[in-house]
Amino acid sequence: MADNDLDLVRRAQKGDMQAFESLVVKHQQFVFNLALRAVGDPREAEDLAQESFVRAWLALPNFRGQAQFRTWLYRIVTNLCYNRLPRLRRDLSAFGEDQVSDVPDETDVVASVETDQTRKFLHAQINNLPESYRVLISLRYQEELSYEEIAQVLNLPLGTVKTGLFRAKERLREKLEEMEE
Amino acid sequence: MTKPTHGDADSAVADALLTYPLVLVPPTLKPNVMRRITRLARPRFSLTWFDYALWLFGSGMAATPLLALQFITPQMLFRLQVEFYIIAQRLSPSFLLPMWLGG
Repeated sequence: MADNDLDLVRRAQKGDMQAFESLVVKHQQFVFNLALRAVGDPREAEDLAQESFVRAWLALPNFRGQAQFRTWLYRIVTNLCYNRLPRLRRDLSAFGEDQVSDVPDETDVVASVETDQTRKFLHAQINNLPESYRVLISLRYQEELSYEEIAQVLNLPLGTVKTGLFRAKERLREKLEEMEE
Repeated sequence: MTKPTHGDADSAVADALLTYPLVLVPPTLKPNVMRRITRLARPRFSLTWFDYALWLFGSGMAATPLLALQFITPQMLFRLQVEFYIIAQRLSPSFLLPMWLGG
């Protein structure tokens, strides 16, 4: 997958617009969703996603392939998000690096069949979380990036990423307990 | 309703995060990106008829005096030198000053 990306990137760097179009098709879903989780408005998210791809095209000659293309692309998206929402960077940095040295991975949690109602309720709660949490959740659970990759994309310390995700889960757990009471 | 245990809540949250759905991309995104990129497409180096015409004209201008010198007779050369000196003497230095200064 990454090799295929690299091949398309090399072709796009030589001016092959069809290759770049393939990259857009492949990554537009995640780029749009990441932008949407950050800004909250679909029209603004589309505008931001468009701008991200245009900037990626312009910056493509500088892409040397040290990082994965998607990580590099998401970094462009988050930088644009930071420019539009200065408080996003502030909120993310404010998580600090306390507590979590051992965040349990979701694969460790015994998955039980949740009721549709609970799931829908929690999805709605995720949508209501502040954008800083939503961005972290989107990168971790939708884009399936590792903690290290998220730290790289958001230009944050690894501990801050872990703390942010830990707190997001804690908030959701609290909401669930409030609902059940 | 019974209060969920910590483990139950963890499990429900993990399930919700793993099933958090992606929103569909607007169909206008890709065409708009490609339209903007086409407009921005880096211009490639190419020669047009005008470049060739300019090159021909420049070469002709440079070659004309060289060719003319090949066919000029010593008498004509002497006469040209005399004419040049006469013109130079007729023009006063005050008139030539702005020319020398580039104005």
